[in-house]
Amino acid sequence: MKIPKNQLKNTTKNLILLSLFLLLIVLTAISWLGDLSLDAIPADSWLGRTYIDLSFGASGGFELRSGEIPAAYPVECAVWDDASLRGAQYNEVAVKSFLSDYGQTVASALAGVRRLEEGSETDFRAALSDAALYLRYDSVLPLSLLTNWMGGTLSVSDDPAVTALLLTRSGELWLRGDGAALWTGTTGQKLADVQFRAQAFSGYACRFAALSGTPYDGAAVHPETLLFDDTLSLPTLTSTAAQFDTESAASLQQLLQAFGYEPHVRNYDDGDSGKRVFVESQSTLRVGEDGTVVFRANTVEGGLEAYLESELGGEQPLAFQIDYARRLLDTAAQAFSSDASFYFVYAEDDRTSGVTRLLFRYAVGGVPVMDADGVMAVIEFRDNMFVSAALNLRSFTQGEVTAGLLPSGQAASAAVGETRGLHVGYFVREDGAYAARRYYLIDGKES
Amino acid sequence: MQWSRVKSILIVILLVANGFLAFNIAGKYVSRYYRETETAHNMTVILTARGIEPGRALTLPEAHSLPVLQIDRSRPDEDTFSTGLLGEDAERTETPDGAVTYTGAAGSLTWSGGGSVAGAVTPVGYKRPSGARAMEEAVQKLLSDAGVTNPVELAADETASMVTAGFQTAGVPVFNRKLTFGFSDTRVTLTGWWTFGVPYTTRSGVYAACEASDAVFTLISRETVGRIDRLEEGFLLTENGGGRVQMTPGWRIETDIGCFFVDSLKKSSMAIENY
Repeated sequence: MKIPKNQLKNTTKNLILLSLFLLLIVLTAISWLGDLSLDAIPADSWLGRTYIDLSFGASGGFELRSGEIPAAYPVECAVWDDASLRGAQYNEVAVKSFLSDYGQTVASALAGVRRLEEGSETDFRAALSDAALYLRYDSVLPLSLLTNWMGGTLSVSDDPAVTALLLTRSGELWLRGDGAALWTGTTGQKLADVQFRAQAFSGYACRFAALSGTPYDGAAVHPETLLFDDTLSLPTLTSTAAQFDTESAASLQQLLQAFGYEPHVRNYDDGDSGKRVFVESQSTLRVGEDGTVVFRANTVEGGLEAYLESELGGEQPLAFQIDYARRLLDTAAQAFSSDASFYFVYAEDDRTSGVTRLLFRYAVGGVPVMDADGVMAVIEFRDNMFVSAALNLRSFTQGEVTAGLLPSGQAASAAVGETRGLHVGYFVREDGAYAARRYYLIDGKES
Repeated sequence: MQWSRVKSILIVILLVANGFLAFNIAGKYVSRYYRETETAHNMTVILTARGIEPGRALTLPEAHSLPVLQIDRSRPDEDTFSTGLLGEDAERTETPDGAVTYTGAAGSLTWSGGGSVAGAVTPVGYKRPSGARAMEEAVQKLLSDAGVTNPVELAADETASMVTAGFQTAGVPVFNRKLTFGFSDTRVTLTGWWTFGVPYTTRSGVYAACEASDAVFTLISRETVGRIDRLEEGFLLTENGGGRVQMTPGWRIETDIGCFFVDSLKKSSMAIENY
């Protein structure tokens, strides 16, 4: 059968149109995607994930974690191991290993909480005997921030500042605030069903003070205080101010870079203070030979933009401010060598000036450095602008001499009077070296 | 009749649009080619002017963007690895600095706090392999026993009776995340830095643009180099100031005075072993 000429012409035009249209899509995609880079795509969007998979390969590559890098790690952790509790305290490696194993479980449990209410000490003591996972920080952290660091998202509107959390095998969550405050909620998942690999976790046998019987019955420590049979031995520390050759050293360039200053920015020696002052149009950076570094923006506009207001969405600005400060201090810390890391301790809002102040402290091997020299930085934000910072850059070196600490059981039973937390920290001695010892904390104050 | 005309007009419009896009894309590639050629030429001129000889095999690889990755120690994976080589009954001891030693009838392995490993094992029925292929097969078997499932790149040194195993991340090598197996008559020694955790980045992770020419300029501005032989893009495993283990993207540059790593983010250079 002969196809009419008009119909043939029409079909041909249709085919050409279709081909050209498909070609247009392909060429547009090549033209657009060819200019894309990971700087231009939000990494956690579906497009970002697809781009990462296509660029680097899903296998043998790397993960994109939904949580941010924590600015503080727990100092104590414990997991239920069928018949007993295994835990670790003030051990950086063990704690990170614990988070690697159970962080996702904690994140998932926290994300499952729908309502929080105030809890009583009596109920909390009863819950301790059903403990599945326990974590304690030496910082006061908003629960939303802690959940985010674990890789989850908090769904309750309440966002209490907490220092410890307990997940029970029956699915309860208990939170300890700064001091005596307690909150509780239901996670919606029973951890009794979770296969805890406590045998792989390198912790030690431990128990809660409230469940330890005589002589701890009357001890004035929080009931969740972990008691270990093993004695903690920690090395002594020496501390020196971070030295910057203010003329040409690479370490100084690293420091300038952290604050967004060009290496050859205008600078002069301040004769009175003995500091080198670097001057930008609306801010100054003072670097002293004693390791002090002070950044001040003369105006809000002279500060550095920590995040875009549009990035916030429904999230609290504190998480963005802490993450910016962590990255800044990470860069500054790389300017000199030290055995110390740093961690976020707390944030305070100055309502009169509208400034949010963050405090970071040094830690060595997971043990906080106390006293004034232990404070690494106080950083201030006004909304999304980083406007001020006072850094105390010190290099801590671990010595070969280790000293045993008072066993946790003895320290707990020696506590009388007001209920308190039992902590470990490095304190300066008369000879200038730092030695670790146990101390009590009552309502945020050292005792 | 009207539809036919509309289709003809649409065809013309699409032809023009596609032609424009094709011209645009071709222009980009041609201009990139010329830019790369010009950069390579300029670099040769600059190197020559500074008395630096470009090695015969020196080429400037294409620029990439690579993430700065974090990596944590995974104790369960270390446990699996050690018991896989030493047997389930291997005894485990830990020191306060985080070092863990596994001791079994087949030997012992020690993981230090930073993730480096050292030890010696004598597998059941061990017989010293001879030849590169036999050594590589022996390492494949050991890694398989240890539960390593990632694709591994093996490099055998027959003279030294050693095989080095490494694997890629994000499509490029990690220069110092390697295990070296040394074969003697009675045992296999094992050394290296092999943190087992999966590398990761986060939502606000930093990405570094890895430009080969930038890396060369960074190096020659800091080191007195006489000849540059080779550039390779990859990661270096480092313990950074925050106490974390980080995988830093950059370039390994082989020169006449040694091997250097140039950090693409910080634009700094450091001498490294020729891994």
